This record gives sequence, C-alpha cells and structure tokens, in this order.
Amino acid sequence: MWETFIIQPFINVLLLIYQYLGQNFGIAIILFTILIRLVTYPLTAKQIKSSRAMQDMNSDPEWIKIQEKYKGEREKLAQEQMRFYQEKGISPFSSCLPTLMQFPLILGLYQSIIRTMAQTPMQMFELTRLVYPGSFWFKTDLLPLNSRFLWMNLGQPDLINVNFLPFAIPIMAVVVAGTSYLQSRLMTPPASQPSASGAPDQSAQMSKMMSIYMPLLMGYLAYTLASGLALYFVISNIAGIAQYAIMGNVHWENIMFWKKRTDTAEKSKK
Amino acid sequence: MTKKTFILIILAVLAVMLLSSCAGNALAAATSWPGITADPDAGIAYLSAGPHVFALTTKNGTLVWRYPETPARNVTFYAAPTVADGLIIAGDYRKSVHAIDALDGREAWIFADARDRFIASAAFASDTIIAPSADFNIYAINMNGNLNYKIETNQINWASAVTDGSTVYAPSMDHNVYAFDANSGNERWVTNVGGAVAAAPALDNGVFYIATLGQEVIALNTSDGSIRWRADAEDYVWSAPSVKDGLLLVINASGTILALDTENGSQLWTATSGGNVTASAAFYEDGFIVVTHNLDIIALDFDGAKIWTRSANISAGSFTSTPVIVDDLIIIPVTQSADKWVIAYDLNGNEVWSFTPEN
Repeated sequence: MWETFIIQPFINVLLLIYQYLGQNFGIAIILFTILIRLVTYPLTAKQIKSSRAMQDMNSDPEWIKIQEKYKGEREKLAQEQMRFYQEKGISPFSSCLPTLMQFPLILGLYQSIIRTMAQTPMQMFELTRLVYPGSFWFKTDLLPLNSRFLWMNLGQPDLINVNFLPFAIPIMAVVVAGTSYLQSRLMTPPASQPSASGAPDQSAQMSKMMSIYMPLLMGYLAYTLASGLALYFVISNIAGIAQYAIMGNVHWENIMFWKKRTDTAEKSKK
Repeated sequence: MTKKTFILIILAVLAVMLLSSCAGNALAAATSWPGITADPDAGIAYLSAGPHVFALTTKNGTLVWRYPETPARNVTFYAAPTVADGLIIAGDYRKSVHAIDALDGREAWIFADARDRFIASAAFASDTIIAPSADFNIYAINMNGNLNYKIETNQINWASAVTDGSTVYAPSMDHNVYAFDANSGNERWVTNVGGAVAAAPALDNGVFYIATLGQEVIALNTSDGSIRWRADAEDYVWSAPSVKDGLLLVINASGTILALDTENGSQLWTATSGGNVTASAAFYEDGFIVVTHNLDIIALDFDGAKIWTRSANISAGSFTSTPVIVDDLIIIPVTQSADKWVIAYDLNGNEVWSFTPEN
C-alpha cells in the first residue's frame, strides 16, 4: 500500500522531472522537494496559523490573569485553559495535525529519493520494476541516472579532499547543519514574557536546545549518508524558511546578533 | 535540563535515527545479489556474500576458509570472485580489491586506490587483473597489487570485462564498450551501443555479445567494434548472454528466455521461466539451467523444452545470481536467505547439500 500509493508515484514523478528538466538527478531532487513543499503548503500554512494563535495566547492579558488566578491549582487551570481555547476558537491540536499529515509525504519523498538513486544492481532492478509500464517519461536509454551534481556524486557522502589539508572537508554536512540552524532560529518566536510565577520560559529553553542539537544531528546525518540526501535536507530547509517568510512568520531578529549586541551596549550605557 | 527538554531531544534523536535507518539499507550497508565462481580443478567454489568470501568444497559444501575471518566494518563482498594464479580476487562494496591466497584464505594484498565500490567481477589476462569500479574507472592491477593503468569511463561500471588474452573488452554503464590492450591499456576501439550494460559480455569466435538495459542484444566484431546485428530483448537484461554451438541465450528481467541465432540475431525460439530473472543461463550436457527470483530452478533442453522444474525448499530469499555447474552439481547462491546461503542440486534437481555459515 505504502509502495503503491506513495513510493511508486513519487518515483515516477521524480523520473518525469529528471527526463524533461535537465536529466540531472540533483536538479530533479531540488525541483521535486520544492514541488512537494508547494503541494503541502496549505497544511503548512494552517500549522503556522495555529502555532501563531497559541503564541498570541501566551501574551493575552486575559490568559495571563487566569494563570495568576489559578496559580498552584493545576486541575482548575487546565479546565480554564480548555474554556479559554473554546472561547477564542483555538484548537490545541490544529498545529500538530497538519504536521502529522505531512509526515508520510515527507518520509515518502525521502525514501523515493533513496530508491531512485539506486547504487547497486539490486536497487536498480527494483527501481525499473517501479516505473509504470509504458511510461512515456522513462526511456530505457536514460539508465543509469546522472548523479553528478556540482562537485558531488549524489550517491556518495560528500567529502572534498584538498591538497594542503590532511583530512577531507564535508561541505554538504556543514551546509546542512548551517541551514538547519538558520531554519530553527528563524522559526523560533522570541522568548515570551516570564510567566506569572517568574519561572523561566520553558518553551524558549527547549527551542534554544533544539536549535543547537538538531542542526548537529542533521549535519552528522549528511556527513554519513549520500550527498543526494544532504542536498534534499538543504533544499527542504530553504523551502521551509521560504514558506514561513511568505506567511510573515520569520523572526529575522533571532539571527541579527550584531543588533542584539548594540542594544545591550546601549542599555548598559544608560 | 528540564524533563520536557530532555524528552524533546530524545524525540529529535529518534526522528534522526528513523531517517537514518530509512537510508541505511539503501546506502550505508548497500546489499546486492551474491556472486559465485568455481575452480573445477581444485574442487572449490568461492562465494562472495555479505561480509565474507567463502571457500566451499564443491562435493559437499564444507567450508574450507572464509575471508576475512572477522568481519571488517562496512566491508561487504558481492562480486563473484575470480581465480587468478593461486589467488582469489574479490572486489568489495567499499572501494578495495582483495587478493586472497586460494589455499588458506589469507590476505595476499589489498588494492585500495579506487574511490567507490566494485560491483563487477574482475577479469584476468596477461598477469593483469582488470577490475571495473563504480568510481568511473576500470583498474588494471598487477599480481603484486599495484596499479598498471586505469581506463576512465563516463559512468559507473557494473559489468565484468572479458578478454581473449591480449585485448580486454569492457562494457560500461556509460553505454560504451571499451576495447584496449591488456598489457598497456592502449585503446583499440570504443563503440557506443545505445544502452547501459550491467552484465558481462559473451565472447565467441571473434564476436562479442552484450545485452543492455536499453532492452537490446547486440553483437559486435571484436576486431573493430563494429555492430554486426541488434535484436530486441523485450525487457531489461541484467544477465550475461550465454553462447554455445551457435546458440545465444539471453534471459530478460521478466524471465523470457530468448534463443537467438549468433549469425544474425534472429529469434529461434522463446520460453518462459515464470518469474523475474537476473541470472544467466548455465549450460550442462543436456541443456541449460535457469533460476528465478521465485526460487524456481528450471532445466531446459537446447530447443527450449522444459526437462524438469524444482522449487527451493527455503522459507525466504531469491535466486538472483548465476549458478555454477561443476562436478555434475548445480550450485546456486541464495540472496537474502535466513538459512541456506548456497544450495547444490544434482542434474535431476535433487538437493544434495546446502551451506549455512556459522556466526
């Protein structure tokens, strides 16, 4: 079922793009990732709207008052929170649902890229069996797919050897880590006001930790896996930032370190 | 670190592991169908399968040695080993060619100049080992493991080369067939055949036969690389053509067996095997053997009539590799089997022995 409804159509679309737009698998990965992002845009938009509503709730004076009023009464606070959601028309799950719905598509995209990059005879045999019979977009003389893109062999991890260095440089791993960091910083809302209890903002702390650990993990993945997947990670990160930017939800101030320093300096002067 | 932060980080790590495991099978620990070769004089079959090359007696499948004794990290073998002057040559799926002492399985040398895996078996000519690599090069290595020369191609190389002793004929996935001098590597000719070639060619009486992923069978003159004839293969062909007494057998991926006239490529007869096929036909005295992905073994005579059909008695796996016939036994490697890695049948299709490696 997964194979028939997700992987096979995805692979055929990837091959269609490959056939008619450049006959380069790097270009096919870029265009297909953007295409999937476009198709899932309504879901992303809904998710962004819902998360924004949840963020706005945190700074709503009425909600702050409720928190103060029921400080120490967890059950009552939870009841009031539900009532508040209903009044304001907020669904706490509406930001999760679109993400969950997108997940199979993103996983399918990821798997179809791996499957199309067939690196062994067995994998290529399986790939040829997944092409729809009589497909006008797949000519047999296309095999093997051209997996050279820029300096990379997309089927191999990206390591560049430079004469004067004793080790190879994993350029794509660095780019993946960089764009992942950028994405998480740009999408993280600025820290909200301290809670009524004066405790530190937990979600801000979590976001901060995630923005450090996730890029490192993604960078490690890109270092160990084929550079075709690293390319997919980079394009996916850039497309994610673009989607948030279109919705006006990108927090540029999070990456303007120099501005923060100036602000701090000005404050200390005062 | 708060409990929530900790849980979130664990979830992130799990998500990364999920993505990693999705790619793992396909890339990091890429697998393929195993390869087998037999040395009838020594009575030994050499099997490349996963982390080892195994030497088995052809008579009863007893393990003589395995190489390496302890599996090496990220090193797997799938290209059928080559017997070369007391050495067993096996390319690995990382980037090295291993020379192993045929008697005791000890390492003689390792050639590690390549940058990608060795999917094709090596050929042996004039004290030179011809090893096509997926790094877009065909390496010529001397018997001490040093590089003699290399031929650059425009794509990966998955097909073994063949040689008549002085000239090497090497098909490539770049749609070209390269002919070069075995000693010097000097080019004799290059012919574009219009399709990728993933399986070894067959050489017979100055004619060179290849089957392509362009769904064609092509005959070329070895003298100048000119094309003698082309024939429709009706599907992709992953197996090497087999030739005997003017009969050329090609089995396409859907399992259709095409018998062609070597003179002009005209179809003599066709037969169906009933399953996907990536293995070549193996000749024996009364006919030839075809094995299918469905684990069927079919014996046919030279007119395409079935003599007998058997199904392997195993719970999982497939027959994707070309069997060897030696000492009146059909020895077949099993792909992705949970138990039997090799099964040997007699020429009537009765199982004689099987081999399951110990951990």
